[in-house]
Amino acid sequence: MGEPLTVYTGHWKAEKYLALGLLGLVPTALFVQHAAIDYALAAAMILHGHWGMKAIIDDYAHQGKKGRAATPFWTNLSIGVSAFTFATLCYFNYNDVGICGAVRLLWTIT
Amino acid sequence: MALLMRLATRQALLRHVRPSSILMKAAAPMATSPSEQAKAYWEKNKELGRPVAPHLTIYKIDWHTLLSGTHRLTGFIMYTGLAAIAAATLIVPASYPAWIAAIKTWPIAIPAIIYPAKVGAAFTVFYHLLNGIRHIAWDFGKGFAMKDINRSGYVAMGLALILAVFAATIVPSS
Ligand code: HEM
Repeated sequence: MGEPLTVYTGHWKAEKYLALGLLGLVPTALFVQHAAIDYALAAAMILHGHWGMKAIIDDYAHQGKKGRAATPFWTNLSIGVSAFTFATLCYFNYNDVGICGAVRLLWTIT
Repeated sequence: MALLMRLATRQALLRHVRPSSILMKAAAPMATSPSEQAKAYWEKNKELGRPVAPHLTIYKIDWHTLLSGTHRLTGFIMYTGLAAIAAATLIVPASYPAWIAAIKTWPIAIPAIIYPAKVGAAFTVFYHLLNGIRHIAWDFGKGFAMKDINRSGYVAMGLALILAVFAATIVPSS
């Protein structure tokens, strides 16, 4: 309540521009394989997905009378999962075939 | 697909039912205020036991609810899918190419299973991406006319299905 409104509009805009960035990044990744794209994908997908999941758990696991945000359990769990997935994706980009390479290899199964 | 067909037929039915709903309204006795008019209308409907017009709006909303729900579902699937695969790479600590080689030897690795699985996976990504364009346009205040909302919805769903079926046929060389 005490925070200025710009905090929310700023975050709202960040979410939209990030989605716009993903919109450019994902189709590019289908045609260009590059380590930079792998890392950009890991960061953008996880941040966008994390904010998206926040919207979802705020809807379904909110604290009722105590507030519209999700309960601490779900909030902490989602932060944990996002951090873990991001770290693992970076590790995978560094030590294995990377995100683009993984999709490509997956598609060779027939 | 069956769901789509059902939705499509409902749309078609709609066209035939709508005129009669106008007749129903016209048949309601005149009353002094809108709320009284509405009351009389509903009472008459109840008396005659005839099906009531709100079903129509339910059918219409159904399609939009489906589109919106699918956006949430596809986003959720991608996020949890990524997290699950990330966890799996730690639990089964073989290299990713070794995983793929192993999966290729599984008895279920046959086109009848793999092809539909690929269509499903590709649809998840393409639908979320295309419907995401609609969301971004709305966020910039564009495309709110009902006509545009309807048309862009059909385009997103249709194009996602077409692209998914097509993408599943592509097999990379290595
Ligand atoms: C391919 C490019 C993508 C675009 C253009 C895109 C676009 C969007 C947009 C605009 C929203 C907000 C919808 C709203 O305002 O209600 C959204 C929600 C969401 N997205 Fe994405 N997205 C993309 C990729 C992804 C990926 C890769 C993931 C998974 C990691 C993901 C997960 C989510 C989730 C979980 C939500 C929340 C759904 C909800 O609140 O109903 N998205 N996406």
